[in-house]
Amino acid sequence: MARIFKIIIFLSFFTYMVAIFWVKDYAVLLALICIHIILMILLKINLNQALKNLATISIFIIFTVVINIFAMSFKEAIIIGIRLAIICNATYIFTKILTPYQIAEVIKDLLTPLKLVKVNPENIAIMISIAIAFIPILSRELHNIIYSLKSKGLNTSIINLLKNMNLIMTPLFVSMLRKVNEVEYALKAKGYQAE
Amino acid sequence: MIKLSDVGFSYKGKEKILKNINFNIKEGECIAVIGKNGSGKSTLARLIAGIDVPTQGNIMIDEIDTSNKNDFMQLRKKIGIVFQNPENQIIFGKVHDDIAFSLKNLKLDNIEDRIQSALEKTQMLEYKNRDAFELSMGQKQRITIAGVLAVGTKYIILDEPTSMIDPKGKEEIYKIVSNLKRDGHTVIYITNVIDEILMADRIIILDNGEIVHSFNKEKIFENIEKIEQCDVKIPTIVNTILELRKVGIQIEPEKWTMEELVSKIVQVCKK
Repeated sequence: MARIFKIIIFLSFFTYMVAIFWVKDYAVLLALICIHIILMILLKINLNQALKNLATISIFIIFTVVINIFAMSFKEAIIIGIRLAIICNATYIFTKILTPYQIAEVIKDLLTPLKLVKVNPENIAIMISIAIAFIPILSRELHNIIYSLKSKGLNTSIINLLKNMNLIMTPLFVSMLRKVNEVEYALKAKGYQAE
Repeated sequence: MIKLSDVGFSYKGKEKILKNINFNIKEGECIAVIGKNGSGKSTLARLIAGIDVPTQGNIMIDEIDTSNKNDFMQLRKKIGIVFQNPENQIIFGKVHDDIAFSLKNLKLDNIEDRIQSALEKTQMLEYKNRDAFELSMGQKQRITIAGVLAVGTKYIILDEPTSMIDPKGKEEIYKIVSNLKRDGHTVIYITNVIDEILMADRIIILDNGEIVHSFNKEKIFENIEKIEQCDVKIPTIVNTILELRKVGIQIEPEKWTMEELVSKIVQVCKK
């Protein structure tokens, strides 16, 4: 894929992400969902996998909606929930079009002017792409923790998991900290040296 | 040549993980390092690879001191490491991207050719554009080995590469190790699977952060007692040969494989 084309995709995605936060209408949100489905069909993206991904993060979306029901109106809370689901799905589609490595290259290109103020764009690009690459790792870890809780006899219904959020968040945080250490070793082994 | 002189390692304020490690590895040699869990094998692997720096002594990879940060890139071109868990080594999901990342960091030329050749050597070419995280553990491990082969390092450390994979995957890794030896790479094979030490020319036993024994594979029969003292099992092939010796059948292994042993037993029986 030509570099310029990757940059266009990246910038379009970024603009789209920002634009979603201005949508306050159910009809527009519904239209966006339809566009996503068409896009996924055209790009031959696995719809089942996309739904599974949404199901995985549904706990967090529901949690956000519940909090916002108390903070705002019911309608606004639901819109926020739909927006989050759309953003997650858009991110999934985006990562199927551009790999984290390609994203790193685009970010590096876009941030090149920062060299003028002696900031290395490569470091920022690597950090962002590693953060993106971490999403599936995070999802796998979350699944493993839920399986482990199930094996220990915990009722893993969404409501119960929301009640026992600390049982998920604590091991997830610890495992991510460990993972950071391992990523550091892997980066060194791959000859990456942060300046 | 790799030279470890009085190497020690500890994390700040903690007990020493490695103590007074001294040994040399000649070019083209294949060394097996064996020891119980927690004996310091992986720490030793990371130190030799220059991923961690010794807190005592020094490690020289040819003319490069691993402690010298300025030579980090040169070091990476000389020595590669494959971790125990391939999932910890794969950063970018796509196989091609993950291998290309090292090559670009090290500013190597002919990136596409190198990736192609490394994936061919590990029989993973058909997975070049696949998501590495969707592959089996054995395939993931072959991808990480391909990453090292693409750089073309002279020295390769394999840190328990078969510990997380199924028997078929293990066989494939053994084939790759045997090819690495054939191609003249210097291989440091860290393992706690006793039968795997027979792939090496020299065996080093690590216990509680110290080298307790080091001997050439041919001398294994003379070192049986020492091996057992370290709570390390005797390899199946060696045990079989010892049992045969007890009943008066003398077999001198050359290739140290089960196939060779069976064929020699058949020859003896026919006589």
